[in-house]
Amino acid sequence: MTIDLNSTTFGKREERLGSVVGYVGTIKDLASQSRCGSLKDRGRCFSQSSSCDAGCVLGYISHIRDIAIINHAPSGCTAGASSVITNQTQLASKRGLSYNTVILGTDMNESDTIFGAAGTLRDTILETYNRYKPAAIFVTTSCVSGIIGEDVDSVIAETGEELPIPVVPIHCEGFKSKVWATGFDAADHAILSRIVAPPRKKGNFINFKNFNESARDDIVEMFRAIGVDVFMIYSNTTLEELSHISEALATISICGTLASYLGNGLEQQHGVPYIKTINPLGVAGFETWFRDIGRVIGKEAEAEAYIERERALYLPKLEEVKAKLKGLRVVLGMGSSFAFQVARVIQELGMEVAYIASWHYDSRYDDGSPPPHVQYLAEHSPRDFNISVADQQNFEILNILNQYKPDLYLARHPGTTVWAVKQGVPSIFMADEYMSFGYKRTLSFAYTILDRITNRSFEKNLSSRIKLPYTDWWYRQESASLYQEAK
Amino acid sequence: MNKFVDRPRFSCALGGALFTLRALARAIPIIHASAGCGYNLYTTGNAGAGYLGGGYCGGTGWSSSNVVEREIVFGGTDRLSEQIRSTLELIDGDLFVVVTGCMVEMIGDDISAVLDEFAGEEVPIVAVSTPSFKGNSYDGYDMLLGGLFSDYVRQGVEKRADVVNLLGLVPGQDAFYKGNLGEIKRLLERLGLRVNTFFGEGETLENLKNSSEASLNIVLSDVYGVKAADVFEKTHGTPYISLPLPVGAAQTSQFLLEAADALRLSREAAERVVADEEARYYDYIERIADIYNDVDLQRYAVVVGDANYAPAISRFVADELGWLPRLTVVTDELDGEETRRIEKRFTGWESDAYPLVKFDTDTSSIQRYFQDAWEPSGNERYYDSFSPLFLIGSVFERDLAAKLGVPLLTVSFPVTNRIVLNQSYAGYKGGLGLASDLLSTLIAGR
Repeated sequence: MTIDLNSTTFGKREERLGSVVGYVGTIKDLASQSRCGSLKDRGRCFSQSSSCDAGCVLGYISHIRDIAIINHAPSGCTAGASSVITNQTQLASKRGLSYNTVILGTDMNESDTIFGAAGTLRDTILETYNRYKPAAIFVTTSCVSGIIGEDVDSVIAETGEELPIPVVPIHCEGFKSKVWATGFDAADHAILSRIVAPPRKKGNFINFKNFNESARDDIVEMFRAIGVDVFMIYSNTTLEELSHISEALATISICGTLASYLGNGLEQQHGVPYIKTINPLGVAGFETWFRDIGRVIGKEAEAEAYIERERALYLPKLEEVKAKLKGLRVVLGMGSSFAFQVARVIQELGMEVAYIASWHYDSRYDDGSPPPHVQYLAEHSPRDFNISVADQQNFEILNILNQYKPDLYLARHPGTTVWAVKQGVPSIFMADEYMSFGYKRTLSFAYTILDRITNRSFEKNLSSRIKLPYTDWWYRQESASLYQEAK
Repeated sequence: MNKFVDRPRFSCALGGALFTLRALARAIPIIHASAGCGYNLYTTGNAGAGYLGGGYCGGTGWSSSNVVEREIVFGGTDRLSEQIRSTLELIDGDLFVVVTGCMVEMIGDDISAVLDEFAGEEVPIVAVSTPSFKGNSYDGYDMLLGGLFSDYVRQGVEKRADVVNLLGLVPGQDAFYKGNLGEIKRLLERLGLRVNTFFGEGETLENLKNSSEASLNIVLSDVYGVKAADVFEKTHGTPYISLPLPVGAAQTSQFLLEAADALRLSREAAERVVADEEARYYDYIERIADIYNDVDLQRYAVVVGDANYAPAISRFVADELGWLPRLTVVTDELDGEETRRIEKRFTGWESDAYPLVKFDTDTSSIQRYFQDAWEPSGNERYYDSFSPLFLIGSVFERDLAAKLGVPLLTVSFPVTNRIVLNQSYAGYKGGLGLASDLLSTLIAGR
């Protein structure tokens, strides 16, 4: 599907990528349905809190330094801003950078819901510029601004003419998409359409789309070894830097869900090749990915030499620890990409993937191809196994954990592993996207798992003394029994 | 223009209602809103309240109708009805409370019509309207309790002279609510009373359900819980008194005597309790006299906090620690009457060491008030500097504390840099806790 940068809006994932939030089946069925494009979404008659596009956007675009984000919303939608800013400030200070991005809210009140708040928004944009002098102002929309049909684009167009900086709308009403990861696309759409300039010259660098750049030093060194620089997006970037990403040799990413829009957009609009292999988690993932980067930028020999060196350094140790992990059964609950990529690493480490719950699932990416990690897992798994697309639904996860009784539960969103622990299952919250990246971190991931299962006292004691909210009736049902028929 | 939100010290009415329900044993919220509302509010509230956690069914466990575009266009009542039905099957609870987000209020979903479908259910189900555009999380506490007082608490119950309810400490907004309620309850029990706090250790929904037998509601706040107490009085005929949150011996003794008077309890008996508590309290305070004087722990103080904590802590450091509070910023959105009530709390102090009092929700304004609180340097030969200074506030004051190079203790929301369990800052025990926390900060390098 072609990405259209002339509009301020863009298609949500359900429409663009055939994304679903309800599915139950097996890995082989999911792979085959993705190839045929036959996957149908299923709703559920019970649901629990998850996330929204707007929350996703605020958390993601605020990685950029020295901008202002104005959330055109009632106060509650902006309440999380401070913790987001604290997080980003800490990421910047780790690199010795100053971070001055602000997130403000227009605090829409009851009369705004009737008469609109275009005037407030306009004043807030101007006051924000005067007070903070940001490099750009991004205005995010909300359920309330969406329902009253506030003409945000017009206010922004007007104020944009008065101010010497870009004023950019990001359309991310919380009710719009069932797939909150659409928020990543909303942020990328704003950057691609308004910030990225056509290439002025070709650079000797690769764009690397990620979250918190915790492995930055190793990654910089790795690419230096093959003679190129790396530019990490968006953590700690500036708008000026971002305007140059069209000049990159290629775009790569840590997560297919995260990078589809920007990677394919840069490829379609500016001819920057987007590496579409499985992601660099675990050994197979890393090598497939790194070789393809080498091929695309003409550094095959250098990439091969790097792989040789690293293999010699880490593979023997990896073999040692694998013996200790052998046979452990693991359930995973993560996003559409990580769930299947980490599952691959689990199998590589000699453990058994008992079940995967993917929060949502994109049937295809923005280039039209089915996600390669699901195809890979279907082909390489020792046996077919059950999976579901569970929309971060806690009741389904606890039912699954009760049925499969794994040795370990792995998840990637705050507030999710706690429930497994309350039910007595040792868990690892894989907050760091680089946990299991490349050889070294795959090895440390293996050690982390070993540590985690070595002392199970916390969850054992807690689970035996507290009560969980679900009825016995629910634990007797199949985890997907509350799904509705596909429409 | 509206005052825009910059580093907010509260979330929305829905957030306040959800954290109030989180504190109420076996009460199950059913959120009728978009998918993000519950989780986003959990993330903020959990961290801001010293890591209160999701509890029995909170955070990703909260039942939520997760309305999408289809419901916004065609109405969300069918979805809500389906969600209530499935929640009753899946979640084991004793009270179910539908709370609403902005979007379903704006599309005009008729919630009470949906509840009528469930009239025959054994378990009580009530609904409370809690859109963000109608108030912040402090208001959400009042809305939620107001709703429960009128729709859940038993009607027509005979009053008992020895039963009181405590209101005014907002779970989640007050990170120390549970410890605080426990201490005040302990003290009132020493006066011979039975006390419902609704959210305290060992309390159940029965405490709430039977709270109409109380002869008095004590609101531990000049602002929060007052509206809910009004609803209670109108519905159940129980009057209320509003007394400030007491921190430390002086305030707590005053509180206990006023409460005893209001309930017409024996003044003499109350005085005996006060004397006993003060003796225990000063047995501990005596310990710190040595270090306090050996290294001079007197400080200037700037206090930033909500309408409960800001006056109480300012007075505590002045009247009990002998410090000099020079500036107090109250960070709530208050009306004129509420502001006047708070201002009155800065009178009658034993120390007479009153700070300059400002009312401002804006974190970035706080430093501006320094020049009003302390004469700025004008290149005099001798300049008496505003030092040594101690900052007591929220985690938002961390940047200011770092800039000034002064210690900070976080007490008021958000308190993201502490794990809060059963600590209390209220009462005698709370005063000791606060003294210990403040002075420990000063000697941390020793």
